Amino acid sequence: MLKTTRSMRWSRTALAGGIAATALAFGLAGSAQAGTTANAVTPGMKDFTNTQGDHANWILPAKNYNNDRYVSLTSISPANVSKLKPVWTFKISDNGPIEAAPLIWHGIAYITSAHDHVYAIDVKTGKLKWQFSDNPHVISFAANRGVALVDGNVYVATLDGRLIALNAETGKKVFDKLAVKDPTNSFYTMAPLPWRNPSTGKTELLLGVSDGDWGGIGNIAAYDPKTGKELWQWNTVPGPGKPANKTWSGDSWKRGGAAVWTQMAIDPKTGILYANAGNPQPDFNGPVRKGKNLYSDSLLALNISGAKPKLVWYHQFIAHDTHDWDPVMPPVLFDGKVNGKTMPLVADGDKAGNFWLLNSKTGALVNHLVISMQYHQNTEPTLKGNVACPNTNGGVEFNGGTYDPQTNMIYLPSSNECGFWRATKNVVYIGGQFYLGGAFPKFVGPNTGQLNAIDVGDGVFAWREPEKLPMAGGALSTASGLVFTGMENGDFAAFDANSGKELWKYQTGSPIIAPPVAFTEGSTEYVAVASGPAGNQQLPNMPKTNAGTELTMFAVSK
Amino acid sequence: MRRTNLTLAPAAGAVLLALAAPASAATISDHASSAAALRDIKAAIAVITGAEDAAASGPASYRLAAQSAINALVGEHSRQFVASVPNPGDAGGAIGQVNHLLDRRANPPFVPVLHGVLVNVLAAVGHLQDARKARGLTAFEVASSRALEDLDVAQGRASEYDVLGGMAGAIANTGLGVPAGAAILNGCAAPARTGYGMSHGWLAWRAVTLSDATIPDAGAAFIRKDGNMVVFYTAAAPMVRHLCDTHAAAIRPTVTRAKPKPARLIEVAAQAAATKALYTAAQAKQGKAVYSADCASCHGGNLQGVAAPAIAGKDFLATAKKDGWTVGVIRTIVTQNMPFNNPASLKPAQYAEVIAYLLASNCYPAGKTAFPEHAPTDFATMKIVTPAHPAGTPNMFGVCAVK
Repeated sequence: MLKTTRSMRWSRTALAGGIAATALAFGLAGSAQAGTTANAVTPGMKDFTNTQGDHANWILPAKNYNNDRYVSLTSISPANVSKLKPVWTFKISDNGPIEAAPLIWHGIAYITSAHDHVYAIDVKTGKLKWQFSDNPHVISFAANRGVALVDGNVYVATLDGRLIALNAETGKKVFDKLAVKDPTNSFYTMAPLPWRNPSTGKTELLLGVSDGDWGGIGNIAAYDPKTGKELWQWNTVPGPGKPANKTWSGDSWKRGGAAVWTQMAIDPKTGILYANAGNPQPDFNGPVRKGKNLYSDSLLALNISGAKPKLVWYHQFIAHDTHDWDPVMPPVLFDGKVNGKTMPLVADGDKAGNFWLLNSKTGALVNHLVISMQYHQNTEPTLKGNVACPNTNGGVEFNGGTYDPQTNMIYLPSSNECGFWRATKNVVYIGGQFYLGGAFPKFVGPNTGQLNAIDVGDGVFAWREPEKLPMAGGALSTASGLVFTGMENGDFAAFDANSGKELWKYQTGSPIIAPPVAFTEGSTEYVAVASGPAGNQQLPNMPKTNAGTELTMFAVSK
Repeated sequence: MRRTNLTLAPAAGAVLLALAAPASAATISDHASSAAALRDIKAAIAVITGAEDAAASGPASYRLAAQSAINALVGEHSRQFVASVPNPGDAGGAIGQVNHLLDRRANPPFVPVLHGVLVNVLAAVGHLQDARKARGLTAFEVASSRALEDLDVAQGRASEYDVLGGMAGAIANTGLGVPAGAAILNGCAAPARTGYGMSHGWLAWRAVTLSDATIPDAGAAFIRKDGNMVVFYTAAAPMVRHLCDTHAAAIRPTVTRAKPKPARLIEVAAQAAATKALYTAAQAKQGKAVYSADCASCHGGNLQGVAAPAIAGKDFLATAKKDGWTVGVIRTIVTQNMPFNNPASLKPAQYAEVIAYLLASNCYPAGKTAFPEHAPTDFATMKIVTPAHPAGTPNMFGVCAVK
């Protein structure tokens, strides 16, 4: 009952806030929706049909199935953002690079830390409700990009390849199941993505595997949330007999990579899943895998509404990549105006420093922008070594950006970094170790970043705001014309969506490589972001110590 | 190459007949030939790995190296020998020496092993011919690494406990290991004096005086102190014992063999069974400083990982065991891929130090020999293990403190 009252209260806030007519309609629908499952400890599948209008909750990693990370909230505005202050700071005991945004459900924030610990925190007080401490074996690096929250459970996919269900009320384990096929080199970093398959009417949890750079081949799989049982698996490097298999010389496809690292998007109307397949392997040694290496470095559109997925189209951004320049931005689906005409679009970005805009129905290229410094991109790494830009941490990183339908702009942080690459003579597969054919690049020259505003309408930058350090914090846009992003120097900042002017910032004490979220609790609009060690984004010129790992909740002080 | 037929080894033939009798060693030339063959194989390996390390200097140098290795393997009398290219081996070459050892009517136990050696050396020569004609560095690398793989098998592998297979294995476990003029004793009995205990053509043990013992001893499976002697038992010893028991029972059931004196397991034996000392304490101490500066931000002050994986203790050692990691694997990963954001940026000495620190943190014992800046070939077969006798007291994570 209490929770019903709460969601009704936020709908009044939405009214008071004077949101545009469509958003208001969403808002009302949202409150009706929330009412149906208000007493539930987690959302039910119905709640996923109107995430945009549900301001009290944030139940998908990038807010909506389309990954736009846009909220139609206006309480925090350019006029009062200067009064934004931390309400509380929660110390995350599992210290490590934190890349996840919390999920919010009726006053509880669920956030995962680097080593797959899950924290359930009261959003008003910042008090811990429960904590799940997993400490899995780490194959390569510690990262967890979020949880799924559905049907009474919290789902976390782990660094040793398991899918774990926790009771959302207590944090106690419901099941814990090994999900990957080869735990020597495969693991999970992404948040499981819940969706309802219309052909069965059942909920599925979708997961892409992290095994690129370690000698596996990528796949997307669906699991039964009740049991953890695998329902289907679709490989991103097809086996012999398939046309794409011929784009790999010899047997190189067998350890070809194309892992699925990053948050996927779904168009629930068409049942199409949009997923990025990562770089080919061995990363830096091209001669052993001649050919285009499909479907590495590609955006895939898969129809997942049947019993098994069907490839609708693919768009390969970089054929035969030799620099680990895969697309890792969560693809953003939206209908936007291009040259005055509304089109179905999907935006993507890669670590080579490219921004891509495709027709989401056909995969055809609509626009391409160079968004980071590029240099010597067509030279493969040699034994002696050579310089190319960006390096593997540059370009567009894991948390991508945001699409604001009001300005018809994509706000996207990007990084300028250069690297000195070296290939090795031999490439030998060793279970549980890198399968690179070289080494990750050394840093060369200055490392900087910028926040870009890309006008979808004319396909060029509306503004670019330079920053002293690379940017990997994702972005959030709000209906009041604000863009929030976190910086690697520890600043959490708000920019004017139209001008790019920095309006507010707060120093958290640790690098930010996690994206922000915004929601309402009672009559208050909150913004939250996590900060911690920089992990793979650590640079030689960054301080080696920091304030540790924290989640900070902000609101305008009254 | 000497292709004499006269070493048809009456001794080895006699072994088959005189079942429980003390066997004699192989002839003088057998021991010398086997040692020469092993030297030739090692010389070939050294030439190839040397060329791989200096591969950037161009095709002429690695083609020369491939021919040099072929010379060491085939010997001067072969048509594949090229006199204008240096021969790091001897005139006979590994193939000549092995042929000489196999050129007999008798069938001593080393024969099947040497057939294996021969086949692998011949295969290696084939790959080296490819390497000699390689059109590019990658082709050379592919061919030469195949040759190296074959030569590794031909050479035999030394683990912490045993010598396994190949020329080295034959030398460690058969009459090929007994030098000319050495005292041959009954391998079925316990050692009564210093010498080589042989039976059925196998070498069961070697007894030396305490002052002559060098430890660790390559080729010894286990070591016992027996009075004033130290006895190095070979990997073949249990089998020899079995053969002696079986044949003794069948032929001379009434013979009571002298019971071996209860052998006292002494410190040397424990040391031999313990993990090999691969670094010095001073290196590990230096390595701790390198680690703090360049590694700890990702792998953590306690080596349990912050952004990167744990690299010492229970979790690390369990994974190393599961995935079969060797000292060579760890060394390659560290020197080629670390630090993650600035690979291959430390000095060779610093890499050796930081690996010493990792070994120390994993409770490996320190010794007198420094961890090398350039990897010896046996690192590739030396598995990372949980030390049976931790050199220190592990903490809750299974990590030993380095002071």
